[in-house]
Amino acid sequence: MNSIALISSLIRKPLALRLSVRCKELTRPGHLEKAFKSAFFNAVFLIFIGVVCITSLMASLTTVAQASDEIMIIRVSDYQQDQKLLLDSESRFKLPEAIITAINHEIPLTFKTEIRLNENNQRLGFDYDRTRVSIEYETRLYVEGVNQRYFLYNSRNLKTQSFTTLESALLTLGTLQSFPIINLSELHPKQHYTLKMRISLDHWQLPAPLLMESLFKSHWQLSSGWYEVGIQTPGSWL
Amino acid sequence: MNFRFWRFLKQYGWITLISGALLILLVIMSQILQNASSFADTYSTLLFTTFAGVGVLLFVLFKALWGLRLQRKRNVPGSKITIRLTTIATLMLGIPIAIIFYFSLTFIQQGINQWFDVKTETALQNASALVRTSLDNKTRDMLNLTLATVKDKSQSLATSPIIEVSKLRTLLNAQEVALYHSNQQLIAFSSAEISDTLPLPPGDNLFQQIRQKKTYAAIESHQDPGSVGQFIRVIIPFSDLDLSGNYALQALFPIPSNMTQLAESVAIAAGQYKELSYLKGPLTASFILILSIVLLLTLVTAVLFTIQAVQNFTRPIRTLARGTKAVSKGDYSVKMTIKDNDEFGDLTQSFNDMIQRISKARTDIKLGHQQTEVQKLYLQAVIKNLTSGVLTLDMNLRIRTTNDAAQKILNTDLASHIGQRVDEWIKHEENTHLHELFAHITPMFKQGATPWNLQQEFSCKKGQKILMIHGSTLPSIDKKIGGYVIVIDDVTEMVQAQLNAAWSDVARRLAHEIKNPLTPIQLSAERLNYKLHAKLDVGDQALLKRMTNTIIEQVSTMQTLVQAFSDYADTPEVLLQQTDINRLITDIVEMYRAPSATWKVNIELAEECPLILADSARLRQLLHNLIKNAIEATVNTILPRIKITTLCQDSENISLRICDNGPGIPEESQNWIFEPYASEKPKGTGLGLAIVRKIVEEHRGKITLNSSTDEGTCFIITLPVISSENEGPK
Repeated sequence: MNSIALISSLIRKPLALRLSVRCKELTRPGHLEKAFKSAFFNAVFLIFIGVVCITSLMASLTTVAQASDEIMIIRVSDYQQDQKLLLDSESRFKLPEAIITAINHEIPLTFKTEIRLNENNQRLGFDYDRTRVSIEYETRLYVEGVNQRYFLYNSRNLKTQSFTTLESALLTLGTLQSFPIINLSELHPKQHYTLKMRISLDHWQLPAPLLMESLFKSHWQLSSGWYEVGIQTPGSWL
Repeated sequence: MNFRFWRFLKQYGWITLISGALLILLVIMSQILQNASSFADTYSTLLFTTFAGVGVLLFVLFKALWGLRLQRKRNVPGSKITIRLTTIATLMLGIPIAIIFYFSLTFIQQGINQWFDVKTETALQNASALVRTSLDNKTRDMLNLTLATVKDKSQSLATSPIIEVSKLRTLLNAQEVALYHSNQQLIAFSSAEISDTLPLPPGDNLFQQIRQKKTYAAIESHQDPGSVGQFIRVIIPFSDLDLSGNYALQALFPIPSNMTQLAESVAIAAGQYKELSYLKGPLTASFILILSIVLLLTLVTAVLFTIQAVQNFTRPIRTLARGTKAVSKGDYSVKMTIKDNDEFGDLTQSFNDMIQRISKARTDIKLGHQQTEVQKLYLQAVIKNLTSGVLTLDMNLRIRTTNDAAQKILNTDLASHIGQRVDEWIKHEENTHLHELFAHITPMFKQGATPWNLQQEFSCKKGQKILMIHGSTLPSIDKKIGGYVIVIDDVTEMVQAQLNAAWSDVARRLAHEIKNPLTPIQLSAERLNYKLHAKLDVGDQALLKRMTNTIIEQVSTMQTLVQAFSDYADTPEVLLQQTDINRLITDIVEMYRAPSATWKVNIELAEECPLILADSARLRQLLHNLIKNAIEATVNTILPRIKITTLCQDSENISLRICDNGPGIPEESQNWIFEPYASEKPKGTGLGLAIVRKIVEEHRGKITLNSSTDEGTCFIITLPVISSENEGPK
């Protein structure tokens, strides 16, 4: 307690002195306006810098690349089974040579699959969507071993599959079968829903030296873009 | 001490904190880069945080530089030194940092390039190929072995699967052998490990391959978390002899752990090498980026530290400059705080002491000046009110100071000639009357420090004066003679009074001495005429009569003259009574109103004049003298007019004016006109106006003269009226 009191007194006194001096300086006539302007300018600039940095960071972390032809979602179809809404999907991967070279040089690539079920609403004449379900999982594609086999690791079910060829691995990566979305009981019978899906390369998961390159080289900006389908009215399923 | 610590912390702490934090981030980032595959998810965060930190430091640096620029524009003390030293420090740091950067860059590139060479790559590739080949060979061998065995035992496997599977496992020396139906149903298995766990079935894709009658042989890794190592999976599809059933035999052959480990190590090494060789370029770029950020951080931090340190160093200079400025504006109360215990602190202390002493000296000087000023004002007041004229000259005979008395006495404007030399000043046409006076005074200045006196007659427009002039030198601190002082006293009245007294005395004596023998002379002459007239012949009678008449006339004239002397010298005591001046004037004027007279006497008497205390006989004599003078003065005037006026506006005095339209009295004579024998008239006693003045003085009045050639002469007599104090007998 004594040490705390001592420390607090050591801090309090100079702090109080500093605040007192600062208050006197700030309230001196003629300096108030100047001090206010200076403080305002500093605050605005720092806020601006902070906003720019945070926005850049968040945008970089969250924004996915524009849709590209390298990843194309060919089909997304929904159906119901066992009172569940399921999804089948087929995607085609046409990776650029640079990416293939990276894979063959045992650079692991992480593909992020995002599936969203949006509820279409309208309020006061304005359309807005409410996300009912949002599923994200990552699949890591990597090469390992003396035989240079291609492996897929699914972070959702924690399973690993190995392939002898890249094409087979990509085929499996792009195929979703009977993917559960939501229970039908959670859906409103008369509501309209939209199913969206996107597959993209998560360049933030690349090795550190490739991060800067991935920000500026387009061949790392792989994304299928959002593929949307309107699903059937759940009421017809009941 | 606490204050200094907190000041140090406030000035340098935050720079140190940010720089330190950024340095740590950069170290972590460089570590991440070297360990390429790990912590990549934090790298982006660290990178952006670093950019933000560097951005903040750059902003602070820009702000500091901008502040310096503004200080330079406003000529704040110490700003030039700060800019100069900062520039020097930046160059001193920048050049070595640039050299180090260049060489570091070279070393990084060379170092990274040296990690990768063809031999190592080839060796790793060969090792991988070797491992791959040996594993492939082993796999092939196991496949062939299993094929050969299955070929022989296919029927027995179909009929007695359990026994055959076990035998087959022993024969093949496999870890596990399992028999599946083509529909993925497990028929029998045998495992080297005693376990209740069912064997790991092949995947659906393998069963698809089996259904296509394709064999499968591959090296796989154990999926179980508790198991490590690899094994060879061989799947052989076969049918029984009557082709009623399609089966698949799976045999798992363990790969020795050391082989696995070696293979794995080769795979890892080759994989890492391949990964690194691919990342060579990006890695180099990342290291260069980190190196650049480190360089920028170092430079920015160094510049910020330099700016702060130099500003701290020049703080005493600014303090001194502020103090000097305040002193130059006249504020001697400024006292600067001493914050540093070094030479600057000593300088500040010395400055404070100096200001204190200057302030004290200034106060003393101010007090001295005030006292001097008071003394000066005192002396000025004394000199101003002196009746003696005081004139001071500097050592070059330029007029320094003068008083009103000097101007009045010398009858000139001295104040407008202050600063002029005396010899130039008397050359002015209005100062010609001073030539003679200063002709006598100027040689006296050559007498040195000895005081001198001079009595000099002085003629000016106001009349003749007698001046007593005293002169001396003024002291000087550095020179012998600092100037001259002349004191002029107008002793005219004193001399006149002395003359009057002398005249009175002479007149009294003369009157007394001369008067006595005159009567006997007159009587003797008359007796002679009476006694001898009858005894002489006619001619002699006429001669005797003429002679005696001459004697009698001259005696009479001398008696009149002696009487006038007697009157002037020894006037009887005045008998003051209440007198009506208007009535007195009226009576007297009647005597001068003769129809045959060439002159005309007019009176303009104020109504209701109060009574005065006067001796009417003496006043009569006064009026007679003045009227006679006026008549004599206007003898050559075409229409002589004499006007007598009384004015009774003043409650204390009556003004009596006797004016004529004669030629006037010359200005030079006006001062002496009331002196005995001042008149130039051929006739008369010369004592008339002297007697008039004496009578006026006896009545406690004043007499003044206004005379000009155009308007004639006016004698103005002021007599006091009767008041309760001086009410005399009626």
